[in-house]
Amino acid sequence: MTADTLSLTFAALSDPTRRAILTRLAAGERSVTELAKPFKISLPAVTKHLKVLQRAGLISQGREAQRRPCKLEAAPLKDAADWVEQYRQFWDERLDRLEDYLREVQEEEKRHGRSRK
Amino acid sequence: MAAPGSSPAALAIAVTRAFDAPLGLVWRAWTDPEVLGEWLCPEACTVVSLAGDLRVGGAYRETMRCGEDDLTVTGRYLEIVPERRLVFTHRWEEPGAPETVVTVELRARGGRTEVTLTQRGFASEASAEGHRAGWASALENLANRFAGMAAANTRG
Repeated sequence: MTADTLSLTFAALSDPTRRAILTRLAAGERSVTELAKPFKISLPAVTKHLKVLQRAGLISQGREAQRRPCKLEAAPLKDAADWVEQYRQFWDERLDRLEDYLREVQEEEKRHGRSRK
Repeated sequence: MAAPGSSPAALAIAVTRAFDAPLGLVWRAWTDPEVLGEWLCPEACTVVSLAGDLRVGGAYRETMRCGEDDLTVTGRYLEIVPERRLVFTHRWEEPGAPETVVTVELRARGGRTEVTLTQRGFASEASAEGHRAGWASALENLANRFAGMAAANTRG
């Protein structure tokens, strides 16, 4: 995947209403009107959010004439999650090493009888 | 992408996360409804209500609000091994939503606790990825909660 695709994904994820819509769609497919109903915002506003999500490839719309349900698309979501996970693991490992180091320092101090009681 | 015709049972996710808290506290965070209500939802949501009967066969029910949309998940506990393993079914109250199975495994690692969560039985790869993001976000809530507790202790 290109860096551009990732930028598009994160830009689409940068809005709480759009994140709420994605969470909603993880539980099940919904039509545009069904999605708009609980959000108390206008249908055009929801449609605009859906367009951003669609352009980022995060959702797609079914072709059934009437209902055309929106559904999640796996690939961009997975790429974004993988990107974040990579950095989280990096920091986790660093924190583990820092913890080991501090424990060593503590033990060293004990051995030299420098720990204050 | 999943190959066409791949069985739903094969659609599974696994999320691992280490927490700065001892095993006992992390187990409580997974089993005490009061504590669960503080973190068990993705970042874009809040827990509206949560009740559970923590015994094998016992039911639980949680409603979360995402945006202004209420989502309810229900299930039953299948396996409870204190401070080790928690297995429960998971089904959204949505037409055609499948029943998936969530396994939470806890492991002490020094003073920290490592949690591995797996969920299997999704209807599609997209739904699986959506849940992977959701769980990662919920576990982030829990990690922040422990970080907040640690900071309060240091200050106190």
